[in-house]
Amino acid sequence: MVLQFIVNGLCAGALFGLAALGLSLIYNVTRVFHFAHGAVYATAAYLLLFFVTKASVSIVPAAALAVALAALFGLLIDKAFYLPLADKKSGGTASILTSLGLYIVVINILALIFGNETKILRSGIEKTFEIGTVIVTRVQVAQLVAFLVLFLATELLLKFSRYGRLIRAVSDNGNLAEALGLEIKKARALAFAYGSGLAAVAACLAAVDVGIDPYIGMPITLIAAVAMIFGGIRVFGAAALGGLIIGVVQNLVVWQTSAKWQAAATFVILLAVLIFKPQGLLTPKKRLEES
Amino acid sequence: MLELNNINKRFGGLKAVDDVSLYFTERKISALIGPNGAGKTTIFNIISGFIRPDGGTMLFRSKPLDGLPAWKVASTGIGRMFQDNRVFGKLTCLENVLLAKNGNPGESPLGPFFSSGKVRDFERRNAEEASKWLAFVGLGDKKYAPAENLSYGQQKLLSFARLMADGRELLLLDEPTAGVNPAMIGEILALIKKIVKEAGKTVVIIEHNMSVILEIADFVYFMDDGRVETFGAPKDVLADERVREAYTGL
Amino acid sequence: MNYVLHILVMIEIYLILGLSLNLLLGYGGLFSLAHAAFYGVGAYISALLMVNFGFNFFLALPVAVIGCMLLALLVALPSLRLKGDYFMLATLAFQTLVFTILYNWVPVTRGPYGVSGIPQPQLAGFKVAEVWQFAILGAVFAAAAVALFRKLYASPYGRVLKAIRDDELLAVSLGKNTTRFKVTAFMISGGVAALPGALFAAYVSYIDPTSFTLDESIFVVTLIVVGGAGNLKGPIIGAFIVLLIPECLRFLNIPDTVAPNVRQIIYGALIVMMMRLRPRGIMGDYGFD
Repeated sequence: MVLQFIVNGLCAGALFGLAALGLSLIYNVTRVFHFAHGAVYATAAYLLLFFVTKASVSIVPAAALAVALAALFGLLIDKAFYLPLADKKSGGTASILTSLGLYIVVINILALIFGNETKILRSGIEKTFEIGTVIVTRVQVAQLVAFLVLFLATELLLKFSRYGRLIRAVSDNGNLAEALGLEIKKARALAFAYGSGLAAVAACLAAVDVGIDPYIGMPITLIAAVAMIFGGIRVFGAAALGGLIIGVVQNLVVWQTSAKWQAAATFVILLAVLIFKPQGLLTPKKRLEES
Repeated sequence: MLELNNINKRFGGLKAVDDVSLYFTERKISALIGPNGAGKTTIFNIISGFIRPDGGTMLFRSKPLDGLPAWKVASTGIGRMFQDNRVFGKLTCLENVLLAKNGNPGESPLGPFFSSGKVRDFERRNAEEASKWLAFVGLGDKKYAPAENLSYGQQKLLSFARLMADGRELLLLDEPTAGVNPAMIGEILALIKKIVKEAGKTVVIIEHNMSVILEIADFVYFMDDGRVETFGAPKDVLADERVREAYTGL
Repeated sequence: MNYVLHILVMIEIYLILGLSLNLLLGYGGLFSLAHAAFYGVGAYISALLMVNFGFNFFLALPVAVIGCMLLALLVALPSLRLKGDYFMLATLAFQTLVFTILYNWVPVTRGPYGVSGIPQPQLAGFKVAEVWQFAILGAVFAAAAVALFRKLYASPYGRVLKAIRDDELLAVSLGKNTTRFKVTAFMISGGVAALPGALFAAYVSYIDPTSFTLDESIFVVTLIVVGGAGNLKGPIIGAFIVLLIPECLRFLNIPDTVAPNVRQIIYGALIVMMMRLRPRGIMGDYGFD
């Protein structure tokens, strides 16, 4: 019985992990808390909806298109809104506020176009598989597969590709990056495009699984933030694993109590981490020097 | 006045402060000199309470300083000027200096409501004194200007005005003449001598400018690699071979 | 006419919320997203005391204020140990937790069913029942808040908060116990937020958790961003502007089904525009950077 919940948790966590990985890339490279990540997420889902229902594109190419457009969207957000603020000596509050404002604008535009109600992509019973006592739907399998593939791909790219090294270098060096001659603009563009793409993949999978409404973005961003902090901000892969763990914890909470305490569990985790181990669970303990 | 005994501090693999013992006499100007990375600013940070030493004790006016939170160290009577001159940018020059006084009854949230008379009086005297010091350093006409609008040199003068208004007895000055044009250095040194002689304060400075040391320091400690290598009167210390080597080797 | 008075009551409520958050955000430089939690807890404490135990509104009020101050203490102590984004996220987490508790702790808060039948305030035979009477009561509260914050903002206490906002390290080196300043600011901010909460509860006579969500916290932040932070007039002007905007929409005959979304778009766009063009808001002293 508990196994079913754990598997459900992993499948949900897979999506959290992807969104978190995306947010982590963006945060590490730019240090902006990208609330608008949720807007990109929601946009991707609605693009998929549009292509599938209005343009009669079949699901996989529709998703690919949605992901590509969402990646572009994320990139544009940075270029148009964050980058101009990054030039001024920024403490970050202005960027966070901008991000919030953008989020609000985008999701309400989506609501105006598509309506406030939940939309499902297609009706009918999902095909399921039985593995022992556990039942999984086809979409859930897709979620796990997508997670594994993208997680590994991202880790490999970060470690071995030139762009991955660039992203890691900019992330590690923060303010010094410019002085060191690193191509910050390129790193930002990559982080935003790739990170938004990951969120978009998660959004498409979620859309197919449970449907969409304009307000799904914020909870996802918040869970992604918790996953990111929980795993340890500096360690990219940790955010993905954090997502999985949160997915499992949420489902175990549902199993033990009821669905209504799910969100609370996530935020209790966040508070516990912030208070006891702000550097995250998977980061090696570094000596913190006071100013 | 201030006594450090066997202070040790390690950062990761680096021993920043190695068994350092220092003694700063009341109403005198002591100096810490040494090459960059010798541990001087670290010592200041340890005294101020921003960094906890790994070992050793500190006594301020015979009372232990160890373990006190930084704000308490400051309110106990140890003031600080930072290497990267700090001012409250968005506040006016006047407000910057007004903040230097401790024990302001208006700084409690209840103060303005339950002791408004006391607060008013305190603030009036505070403002008078602050204006005096601002005028003294030549910033009188900038009283209501936001500190961030001032030039670097002017901001340094602002810090000195704040220092003069400061009620604290021991002042740690980290490179007070750095970045200041030579014409103003004389003024600043005169200010420092003034607060020691007339206000009876104790000053410890970190300096790289040897002529400054020769002119105002009463006692000098030379540090290198986290250790105190030699100490004594300025003339003697500066004549020491090790000191000469460290500075010409730079 | 009643409609105009209704808007006035709402302006009075948000004016107080704005002035109280301004102490944290504009003066302390603390980006808290938890303000709606204090507003909501204030509303709930007074509502439950009045409905369950027959408390008089004016007796429930101080209890609500104290309750919120304690909640603020609870939120502040762990959160203030964190810097920057972490602090903001901690306040966000508390906001969400408070909402979740209000929504799910049904035996106490009645959860999604809300608290209904909240009685109208009365004192010595005077009943506050009509809208114009609420407008007057609200004006009294607002005036009190303005007087309180006018003194506090201009006081040495306010000055230290601004100093902490600009350079906390420097403030510490001047002997200021910055933690104590930030905690007390939190408590004052949260405690005062209970006032509009109680007023709102009595005014609408029915409250449920959906009025006190993260969106609401963001709304209070919006009014400060638009009107201005770091002084007295900013939040006041902000409250007027953000509450009058939907009224202007009315004149454009925007259908009711889309009006809420359009309103949100305007608020969001205002935030983005302000940050780009005028970070200090229309009449503020402190520009977010």
